Amino acid sequence: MDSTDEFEPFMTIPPHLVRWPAIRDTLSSSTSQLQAQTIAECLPLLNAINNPSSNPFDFDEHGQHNLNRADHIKFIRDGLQALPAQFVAMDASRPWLMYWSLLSLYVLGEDVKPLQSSIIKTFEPLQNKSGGFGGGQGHLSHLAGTYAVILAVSMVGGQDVYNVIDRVALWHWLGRLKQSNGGFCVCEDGEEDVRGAYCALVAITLLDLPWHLPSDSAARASGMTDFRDGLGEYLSSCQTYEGGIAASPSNEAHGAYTFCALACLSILGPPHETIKRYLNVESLLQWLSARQYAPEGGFAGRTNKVVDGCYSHWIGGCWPLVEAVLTGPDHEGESVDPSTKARIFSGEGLVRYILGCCQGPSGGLRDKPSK
Amino acid sequence: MSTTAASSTATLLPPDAKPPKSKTASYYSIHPHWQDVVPIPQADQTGTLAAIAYSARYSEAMSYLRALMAEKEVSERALALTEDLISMNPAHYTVWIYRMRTLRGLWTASGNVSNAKVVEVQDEVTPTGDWTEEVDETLWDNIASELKWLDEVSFRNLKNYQIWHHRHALADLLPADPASPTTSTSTSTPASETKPQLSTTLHQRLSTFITSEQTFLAQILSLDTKNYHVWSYRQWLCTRFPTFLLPSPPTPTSTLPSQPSIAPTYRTHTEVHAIDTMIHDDLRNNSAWSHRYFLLFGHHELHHAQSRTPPLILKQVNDERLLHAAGRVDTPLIHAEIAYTQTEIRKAPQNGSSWNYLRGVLRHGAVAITTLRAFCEEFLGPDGDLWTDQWIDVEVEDAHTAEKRTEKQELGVRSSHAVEWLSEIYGQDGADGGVDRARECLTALGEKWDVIRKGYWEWRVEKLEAGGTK
Repeated sequence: MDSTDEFEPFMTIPPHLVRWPAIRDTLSSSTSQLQAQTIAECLPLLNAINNPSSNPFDFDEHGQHNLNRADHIKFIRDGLQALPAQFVAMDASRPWLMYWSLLSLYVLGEDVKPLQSSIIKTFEPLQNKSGGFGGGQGHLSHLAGTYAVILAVSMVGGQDVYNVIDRVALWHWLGRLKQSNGGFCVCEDGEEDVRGAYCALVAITLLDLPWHLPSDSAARASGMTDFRDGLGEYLSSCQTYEGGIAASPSNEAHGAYTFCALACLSILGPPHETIKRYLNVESLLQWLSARQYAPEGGFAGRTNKVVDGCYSHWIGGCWPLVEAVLTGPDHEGESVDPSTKARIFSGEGLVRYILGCCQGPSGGLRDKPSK
Repeated sequence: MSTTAASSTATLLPPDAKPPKSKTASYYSIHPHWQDVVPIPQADQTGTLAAIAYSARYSEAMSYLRALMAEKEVSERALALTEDLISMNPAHYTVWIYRMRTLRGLWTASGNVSNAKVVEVQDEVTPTGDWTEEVDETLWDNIASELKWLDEVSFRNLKNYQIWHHRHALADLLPADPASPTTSTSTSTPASETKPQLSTTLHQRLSTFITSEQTFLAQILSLDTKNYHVWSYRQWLCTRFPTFLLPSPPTPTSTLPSQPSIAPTYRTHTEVHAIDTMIHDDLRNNSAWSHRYFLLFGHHELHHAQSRTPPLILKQVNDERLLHAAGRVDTPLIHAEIAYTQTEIRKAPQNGSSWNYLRGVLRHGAVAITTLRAFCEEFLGPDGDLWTDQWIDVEVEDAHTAEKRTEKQELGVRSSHAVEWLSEIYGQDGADGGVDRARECLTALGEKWDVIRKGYWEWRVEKLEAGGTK
């Protein structure tokens, strides 16, 4: 085997995760240049254990970089404190910022319960009397922000925290977002896309809101009576010829929207029923599996785009749902224990990408080493 | 933070004073046009998480925005305020939506959109496109001037999300294209079988608008070739103005039999030509391929699924060959596109975009993948070898000097996509050894060409052995 590596690895990392791809086109274009640049910046980090100048204590027994747990926790806690003026660009996304921070703390094993009173103080002023939560005080209610608030509230828990949400107003507001084609707008006069549908279903189910549409819902004029009406057909129309799902019918297949659509279908009913009924599972898998690249190990959001840490969440989140489709109870008559089944994507590749390429020098995760 | 009461007697600015660049200076509280407004400041309590230390200017402007929005004010000064806030925070969706509501309100008040359902600004307002075919000069001028401003904002904020929705909302105010299956985004527009034709004047005006949009989109995409929001807007625009942007606009099913093929001329259609150029510039631009599919095939599939009552599940259209049944598959076009894509694949055989497109075209045209067996085998090693490296050292002899030297030659497998396709083709072959050969393709992918997807290739082997539910 002709190896272009300069030294034999000390630690045995699977070769495909530390070498250039086996096949590369000779014709260059801006996409292939960016792809080559991305591989070039990841390779030294993926193979850092074999760099004589590395500190071996930074790595685990598999040659993977350690998770800088304490740095990440500090990074997130700092972010929850007061932010400087240049963060004004995040002014409309504060619930989003807080939700991700809380989720990260939770995943890192931190106790988020002590934040209960801060959560109440922070979210109460974002709620509009006409239902839903805005990005900031006086901002229009938006499904992305509302989704973030509801999940943050669920994570922190406590009756006082739950009481923040005006469920009746929220239900009416959701009724105004339901569209005659089955989908949802993200806010009144805002765009319609699969994010809206997913966030709306999370709100309805987590808050145990009625499925039937409020009487003031405009969608009733087109014969709809239920939030689920036309939803599966709408989501189906967002699946593209590539197999992935787009923001809206006619757009390009995209990792984040694919997650939203699969998650939405999985709330609509058992994934092995709904995803199978509404989507072409074979082409979905084909596209989804092709999102993982070697040697980088991470996921790219679209065909011929470069890997990006955020898709560890969006594409990564699709896999358990797809596995539920493949191993669901109607597959060969009975439920299969997913743990007995080999994973279709490479967990090892993803872990190496996140730990080796995405950890920032002072905590926090980045898209890729250069970003 | 500005909490000064409106009755402040501090020295006021001259009435023509523009918002200052300074991040600390007051403006609205000392401007004569704003003295009747009681600002609503942000009331952050101590202990608020992720509180932003806003500049004094931003806080002040936001306080006035809250006050105006609470009153649902529709005015020129509201418009100016939104422009000021957008310059400080272009990602502020609320400001953009309030700006659009204000524009609609102002344009209604000035009388030029009075016949439309552009109602006074309120939470329940829904966009509408139910316009008469008359050319309303004032409306066109208003939209043109807003778009001109928006163009500048767009070039300064390439990654911004909201500008594209604003553009969408503006373009949606233009008269309907009778060929559009949904003439607006409003909640109840039944598809009509008999739609009027555009008047000549209106056709001319819309055509000019579309051309300028295409020019603008080309400029923006040259700076950011895969911008998702730009492409999404472009696709929406095609659906909204099919007469101008789709090479074969949808026609009511009552006009059967099928239309003539567009194959002889489609490459000269402006939108197809624009995509040809972009693929020529970067044949791996998947957004361009995706738009190509939508233009030539995807919109027919969507139209077919969505025009039914109730709408169909999209995959049924291809799975059940419904377009074939309706005489809506342009076979010469399918073959032209297969040939075009094969040429592109030969230039860069490892390009996933072109292979995905080709698969889409085959599925749309119900063309069997087995017909591409010889094409796929072009990308294997000598004698169909599935394992030979792409580049091999070959000993060559110089014709003149008879000296021998080694040279790297591209002799082995040049495309993992071809190997994947062949696993399907051989698997469907039915002939002796077809399944074995298919399994070998998948094994080669998992062990050599695309190792990170080993789990997937193994799953495909399972499927293959389970009897090929392909």
